[in-house]
Amino acid sequence: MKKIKLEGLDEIVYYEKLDNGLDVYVLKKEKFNYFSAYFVTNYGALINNFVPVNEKEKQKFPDGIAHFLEHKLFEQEKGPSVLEKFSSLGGVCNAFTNYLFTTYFVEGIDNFYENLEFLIDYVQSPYFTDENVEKEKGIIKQEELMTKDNPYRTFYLKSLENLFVNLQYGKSIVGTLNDIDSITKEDLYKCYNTFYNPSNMCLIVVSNQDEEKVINFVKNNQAKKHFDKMDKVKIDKVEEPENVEKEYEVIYDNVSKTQVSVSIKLPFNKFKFDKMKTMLYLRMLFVMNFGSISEFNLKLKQEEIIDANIIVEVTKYDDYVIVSLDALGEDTDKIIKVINEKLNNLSIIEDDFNLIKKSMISNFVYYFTKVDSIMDYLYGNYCNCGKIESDAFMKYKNLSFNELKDEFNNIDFSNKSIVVMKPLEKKE
Amino acid sequence: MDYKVYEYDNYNIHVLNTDKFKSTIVSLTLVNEFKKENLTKNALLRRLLTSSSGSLKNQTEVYKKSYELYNTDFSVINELYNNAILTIFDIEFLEDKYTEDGLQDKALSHYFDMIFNPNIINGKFEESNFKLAKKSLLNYYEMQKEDKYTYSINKSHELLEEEQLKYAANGYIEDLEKLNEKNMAEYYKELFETAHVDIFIMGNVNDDKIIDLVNENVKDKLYKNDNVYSCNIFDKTSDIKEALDKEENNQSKLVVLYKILNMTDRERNVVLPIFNRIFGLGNNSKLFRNVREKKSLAYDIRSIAQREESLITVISGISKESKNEVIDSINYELSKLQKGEFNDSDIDDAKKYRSIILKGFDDDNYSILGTKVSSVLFNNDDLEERRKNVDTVTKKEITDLANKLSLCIIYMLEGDKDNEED
Repeated sequence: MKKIKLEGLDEIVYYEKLDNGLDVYVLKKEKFNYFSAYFVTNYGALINNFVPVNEKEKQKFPDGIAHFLEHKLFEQEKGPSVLEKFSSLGGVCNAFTNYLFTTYFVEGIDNFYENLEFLIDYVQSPYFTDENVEKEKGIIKQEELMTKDNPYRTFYLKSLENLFVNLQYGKSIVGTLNDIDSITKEDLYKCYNTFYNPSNMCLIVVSNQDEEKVINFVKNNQAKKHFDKMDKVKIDKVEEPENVEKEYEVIYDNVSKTQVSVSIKLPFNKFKFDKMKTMLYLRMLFVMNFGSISEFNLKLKQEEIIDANIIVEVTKYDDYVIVSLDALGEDTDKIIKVINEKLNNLSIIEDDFNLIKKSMISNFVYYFTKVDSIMDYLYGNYCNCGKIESDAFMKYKNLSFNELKDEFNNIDFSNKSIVVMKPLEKKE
Repeated sequence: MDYKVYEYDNYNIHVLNTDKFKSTIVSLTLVNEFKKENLTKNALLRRLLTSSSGSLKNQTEVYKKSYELYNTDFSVINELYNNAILTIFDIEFLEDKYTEDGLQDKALSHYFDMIFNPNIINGKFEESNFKLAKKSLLNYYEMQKEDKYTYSINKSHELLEEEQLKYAANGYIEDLEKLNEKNMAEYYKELFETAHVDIFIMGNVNDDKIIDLVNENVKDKLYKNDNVYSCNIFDKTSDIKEALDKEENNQSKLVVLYKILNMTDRERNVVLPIFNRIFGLGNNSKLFRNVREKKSLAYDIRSIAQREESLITVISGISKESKNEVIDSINYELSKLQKGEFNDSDIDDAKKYRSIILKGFDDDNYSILGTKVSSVLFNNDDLEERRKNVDTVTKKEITDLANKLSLCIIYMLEGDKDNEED
């Protein structure tokens, strides 16, 4: 058992890699009633072309299968349903799938160990039949239709689709209606057996329980079950070129106002810092120049070029960092023009740097005041870094104005993709 | 947690002292009488008061101040409770020991500056900020149809006859045009002059020190008003109204609205949350398990209980062809509850869920505060009382309450796209 001291935060995460390969992270929060447990597999919507376990040939699975699997694991062979069982234990459970991970969770107050045990057990006991797979298709299709009705989701996915040439970010996580229809029980078992081996999973727990006891409990639970030793799943590394797939596109959807998303694609290897630090500095730079504290943002609003604050996002996608600037306003040509001009003339101001740093640091303190936000932080750190890091907070504290000024002063931000979303009635 | 009330002529200060959280919340709460024309004024005033002040001349300066004070968050919220409109001025800031000495004083000075030193010059809100605030609200109105669930619920409630129940809390675009820099400055004054005021403070605070600071800032600015809140009582059924709108969507949103007739205080406070959990709240409810899971008729279905208004709203995302089947299924699930056709395990599950929610309030500063506000202003049970009462609910009480539901409105926002592959 290893202690990961979260430096500067006065918090300790206990960690152990179990014999079967499962990574277990436990943080104790003494004064709180709530517990939260996330059971995560490193398998999401982007991974559907691989050699299934115990097979030799690579196989392509329908899009949306990771998400379908997430739904079907709620099926039990006997006894009460997963929902009923958690309900009887007082646990609130759910699951979600993104591009790289599928996550099952339970939260509650009472019956901590019973809830934790059932979370692990139900995820580790799949029960798929032709009948229950067919039944699920109706529900998942409704979910896909609901997703398609969300224009902002479409806008976001289109931005991703146009940024990446080979990586499949931007495709629907749920799959198309045809994909959903084509999924079989056999497909589900193959994917399950390949990616739900404990060696490809992690468990994160935040509770008021003793950390060692929690880890031992999980250890005992796993010791009762047999899992084949598995090599790392063979998934081809997708080579992604630096250029964007499409530089400009206009889409029409069921929205009331026109908006534009300017996304800049930057390879991490262009920067001398690690990925996290690179992202932090980029965030500072763009918040300073385009965010709610920037004079530029205020000026555009006062001149009625934009209708609301520009939203700045900095996100990691494999070996790339994407900086997105989303703005609302009818004259998108003008918005794009002024953003481009600004990108060629960014300012780095020490007073603003200090303000943003204060804000980032205080966010950390707020994180550790509630169980759900602690879990959000630990889970986010795991997804971004593949582990829970001890020095994340110190990376924030050690951000330096000179580093920002010296390393980010002359970056070329011209490699970008722009998507404009207009109301349907503007379509000619 | 230590709770004390300090009474003054025009307002009371409620202090909830706890060291569990690392921040302090101060919440100045106004209760005003419901008037439809004030909904839009409130929505605009919120934007005016959060985007600038007499000393912070624009929104950029306000954001910078928040960053400077370690993400001290100032917000203004409006909530409707039957015949009352609440305006809540909240601020949350970190304790000095996690930031720097004197942050509490600086944060409170910023808070009262934002509330009591509005950007009004010669009896008018400053023009350029006013224009931006109005534009922001206009955008909100123009975009609100994009949230199909809220839009559908609002449209269904508009079919109610009761004045105080039918209007959306954020007001209406047609009322916005009438508002200008001058009449909004007058409204700002009127809002405070006609409000009943309570101030809530929660955190690890020195009572004497913070109360002195608060009193110093508010003593000449608040007025005595006894606005009496009362919850809504429906005493008779009404004809079922139906309405349908069409829109280019894949999925349709169906709203089924029930009045709860002659609900007693005990039912409102104690039985309703248990009933609603069994009926349609969460993924172990009758509606979720039967309409979604067993019949695959909806991706999403849930019921929302509005206790002050005596309403239950069932909202679901469905395909348009399933409309009648879903309505029948919802009514069928209700009829089973009305006949007492549910198990003790359903009641136990609902009670467990409710107990967990109430225990969980202890872990969330805003939940603790919200419950205290609700008990002080609306005479609802406080947290201890709520916890104590959960286990006392009987099957008969749940059945009796189920029999008080009376279907009054069916609204559908029909998606008229064909559900085919793109």
